[in-house]
Amino acid sequence: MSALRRVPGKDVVIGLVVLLLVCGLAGGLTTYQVYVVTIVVIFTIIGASHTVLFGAAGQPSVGHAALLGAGVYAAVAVAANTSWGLQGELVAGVVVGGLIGVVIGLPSLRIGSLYLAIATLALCVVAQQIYFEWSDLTGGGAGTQVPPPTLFGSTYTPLGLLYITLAMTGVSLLFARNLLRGRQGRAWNAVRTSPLAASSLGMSLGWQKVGAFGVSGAMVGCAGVLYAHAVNYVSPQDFTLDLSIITLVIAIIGGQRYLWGAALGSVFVEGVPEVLRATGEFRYIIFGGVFVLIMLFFPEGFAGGVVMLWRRFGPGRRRTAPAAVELQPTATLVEAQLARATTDDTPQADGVGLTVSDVRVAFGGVTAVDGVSIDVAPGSVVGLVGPNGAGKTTLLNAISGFAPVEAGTITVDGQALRTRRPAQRRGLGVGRTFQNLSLHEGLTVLDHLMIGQHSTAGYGPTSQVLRLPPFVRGEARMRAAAMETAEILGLADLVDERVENLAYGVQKRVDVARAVVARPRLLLLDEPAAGLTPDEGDDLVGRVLVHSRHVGATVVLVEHNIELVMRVADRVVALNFGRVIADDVPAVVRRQDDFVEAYLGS
Amino acid sequence: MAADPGIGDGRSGGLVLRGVTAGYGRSSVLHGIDLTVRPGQRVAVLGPNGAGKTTTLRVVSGLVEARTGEVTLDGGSLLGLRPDEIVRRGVAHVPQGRRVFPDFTVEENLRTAAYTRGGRDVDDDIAMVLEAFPRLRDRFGVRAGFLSGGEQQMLAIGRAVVQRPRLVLIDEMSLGLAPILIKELYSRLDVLFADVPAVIVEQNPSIALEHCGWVHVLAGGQVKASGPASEFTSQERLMQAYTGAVEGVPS
Amino acid sequence: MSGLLQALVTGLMTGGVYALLALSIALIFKTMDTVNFATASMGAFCAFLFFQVGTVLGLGWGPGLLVAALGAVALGWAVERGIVRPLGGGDLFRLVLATMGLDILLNNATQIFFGSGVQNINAPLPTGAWDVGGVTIDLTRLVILAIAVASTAAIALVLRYTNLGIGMRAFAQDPQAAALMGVPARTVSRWTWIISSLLGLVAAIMVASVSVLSVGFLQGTFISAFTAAVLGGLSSLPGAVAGGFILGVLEALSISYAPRAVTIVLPVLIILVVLMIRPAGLFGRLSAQRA
Repeated sequence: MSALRRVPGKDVVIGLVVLLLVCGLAGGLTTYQVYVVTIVVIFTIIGASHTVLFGAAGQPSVGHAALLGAGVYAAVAVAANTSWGLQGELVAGVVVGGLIGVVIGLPSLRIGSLYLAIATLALCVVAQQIYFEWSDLTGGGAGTQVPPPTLFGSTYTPLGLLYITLAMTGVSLLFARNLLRGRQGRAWNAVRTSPLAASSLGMSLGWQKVGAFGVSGAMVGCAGVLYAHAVNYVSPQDFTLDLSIITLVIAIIGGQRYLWGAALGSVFVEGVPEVLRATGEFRYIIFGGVFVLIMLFFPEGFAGGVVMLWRRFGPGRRRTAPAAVELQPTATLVEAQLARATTDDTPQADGVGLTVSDVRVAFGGVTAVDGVSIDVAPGSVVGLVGPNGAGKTTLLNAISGFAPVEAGTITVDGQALRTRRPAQRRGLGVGRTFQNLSLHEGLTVLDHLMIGQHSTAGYGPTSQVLRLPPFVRGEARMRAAAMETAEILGLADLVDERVENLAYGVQKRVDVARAVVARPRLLLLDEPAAGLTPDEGDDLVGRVLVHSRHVGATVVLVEHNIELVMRVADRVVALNFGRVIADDVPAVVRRQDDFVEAYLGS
Repeated sequence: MAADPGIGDGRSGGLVLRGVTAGYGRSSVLHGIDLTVRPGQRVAVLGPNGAGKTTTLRVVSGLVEARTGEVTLDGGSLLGLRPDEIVRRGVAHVPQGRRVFPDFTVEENLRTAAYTRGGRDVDDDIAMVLEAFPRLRDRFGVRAGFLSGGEQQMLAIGRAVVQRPRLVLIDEMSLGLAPILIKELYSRLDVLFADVPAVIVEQNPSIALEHCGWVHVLAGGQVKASGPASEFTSQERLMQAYTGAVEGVPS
Repeated sequence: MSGLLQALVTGLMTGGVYALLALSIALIFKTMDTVNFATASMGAFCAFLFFQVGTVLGLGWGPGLLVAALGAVALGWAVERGIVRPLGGGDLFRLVLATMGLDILLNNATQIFFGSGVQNINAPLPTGAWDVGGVTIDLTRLVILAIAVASTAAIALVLRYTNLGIGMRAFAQDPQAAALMGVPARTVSRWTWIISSLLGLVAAIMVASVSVLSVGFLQGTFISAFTAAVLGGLSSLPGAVAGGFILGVLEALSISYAPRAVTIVLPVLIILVVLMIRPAGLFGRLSAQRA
């Protein structure tokens, strides 16, 4: 994705050239060849619908045969009962497919992706039975004839249908591409690669998937209408579980992360068996075998393999590895960073206060946080320390909405948080990092910084698909903010790098950068220095605090490096056994007996 | 600081770690650990959280692969072995959080520990465990998921007894337990593993110092201090090793 | 009244087969956290081996069963070694999809090796029926039920009393803790797939002996067994067995008393309802809590 994004529109031009090429060559094909090519092109749309649903949003579906059937029978119904023509059938197919997609997706508000995949399996089986039973429309087991397509009054031959199909495929792929590139696509990728991080950034995991199902369903519905006319005789027997699996296989073999992979997959699955007719029955063995091999050795499919080779040998290949993180040689990096911030910066906004009063959190009989009260002044930096199991992370979880509060209240900027979900708390300006890295694999540093601004993008899916001015402005503004944050956190040279290629210390910076890029007004940092060398840890914390001062955020810092906390915090709160045992300025806390005892035992 | 007694005789026996680095994924937690446990010696590994204590134990038992360095037990290298192979070499690891099998009864948990012997000759060992922890006798047929934290810890130690180890690793035994229970568990260790060398990771230094002869203090993935337990009874010495701070410790 | 009783009896007999195949599915899910979509085609392939050796080559059912069992062991081993282990504990879906690919491959291999005809397996099972108070009990199906119950009991005994079984159960609860007890992950994984494959073979032969043997003949049973496993909570072995019997009875009842459409979509309805209301299944419980 990122490789193509550098020159906007290049991919569209290439796609158009390929479509026109197929158009130009189609004239010389036999009727049967036209049929095969039409089928390959139609399955490209279906494969691309998996690119959206599975490749981006991470939800495998084995119910796509049912959706295809929905499109097919929408076309049959419209053709039989109205005189709307193909244009009406397409609208009906898209609407029906999209609606059914949304309905299948709805359970994802309640159940996880494995169970949802099972539900799609169930849908596939039930839908086929419904098609069998609804014989008025479908002809039951005998099937039904589909009349030739009529578009705006004129009737088309199979070759004409191929041209129409190519045009519709172009439109569908452009639609999917525009959705995938921008806020919506980033959200789907975020939900897939790290649900925890995604929900802390204000995304609703369930609704994101419902949306992906709707988009995917609409695309398949459109494909279904074209399919009905291409095969011109349809029977419920066609819409088997096997067909569902084959459409998924198309996306995976082609590379489910790439829209153009769907075309490669479709050629391989629908086209190659025709070429291999000579090998007789063995072609399906070859086909199944190739699929298993692809799963084993090319998890990203054909397209993924091509991209990998392009990166390694193409003209834009990288000659050297990404530069290591540069560290200033002193052990007082934090002070150096902070000094820089105080001299030349005034906050862009004010941080917000946080009040935790008498909060209790318990899991299965263990009270992790037991009546904790803390008052954090706006704009201050508060360190939260304590031994393992003291309840520090649980308290952060309670504040950010990841742990249920049993008693007590938490207010941010004067607003009580009790019933709000993580996504809503993000809207109040609460941002957080997680102890373990939760990065989005396969995405670049810049993608992460854009994902971090999901809730402040300022445009919706419609602007995004049509590339309207709000989209263009929003993207430009977010990119500027991303670059500013990248600059402060020392990531400016690495914005186009995929995160899995970065050293751990840099990944940690990206993780933190994503949390701060949208300018949270209350920033919760959970052990930002864990897993880093002391110098890296100092450097990171220093940079984050500079950023926080720059944007004016209040900071709660959980960190086991006590010495570091003592240096940077305005106040230190020590917890032990879920209770506050010390709460004062660092110099006082480190002398308190309770605090020393908590660490050393009595 | 007293000289580490293990240096120079790594082949003679016991557990020896030299220059061990390790981490998870791309993170690094251990930055060159040198540590020796001589035959019969009980060693406490102390340090603040995040210091790499647990990771050190996980490297020894094969749950985490060392990136560089060497790990030998009685002269034989443990590097590159799978956890079950290391268990067969006689290393018993009582992990953090007990990790008892929640759907197994106390008895089944103990019998599972004899897996490497094909489940044979386990009755005497079980009798020994029940004698040391009478509370487990009362709960013998109860599923371990329903035991209290203390009982689970007893069970986890009991499994290590059944494994008949040549080396025991115990991680954060006292976590979340009442002080009186912690004392009881430690006194049982003295009986159950009287001659078995042991590495005991603890957050709570005072109890560990009482029951261990030798101490290593870890911070930032390195051994910052080593010596006989008697050297670490003052708080300054420990706090200094923990925080790296030279000032601000109560005196 | 006797109609109801008849439905119950018939349902229990069908349910035995569902229970066995559901057990095969749940065993894999419980220990390996994945669903094997090639369960049916693996079992079917071995059932064809049984038919080929026993009937076509005329060596009798004893050697046929032996060859089929060896085939099932080899297939289970090969799948574990060739697909499961290389894909490693990685992405759940990749493994699921790989088993789907395997399903396509095996179905077509079956067709090539054994042809696409419809065969009668001629299993050496008694025929005839008893009439007990107006309820007909088909002897073949009764024996099949007995075999299903015996196989289930055998699995239960292996899991409960053998060292390997204890290791497998320990591994299913906590792979890392099991490793620390000396349980080798590879051994557990290998035997889980082999046992699952053998269960599939038994189920396949039983289904074939009351219907016919043809490519893909086990797919319908697989959907039902899968439903049964979901009903039981997917990772609960007793749940899978109970789910199998419950589904069998529900199907028989709906055949007798409900409109045809309901019978057809019954498995799917059950899956949807269970997933929406009790995703952990009727018998699923959260594992006893860990401190």
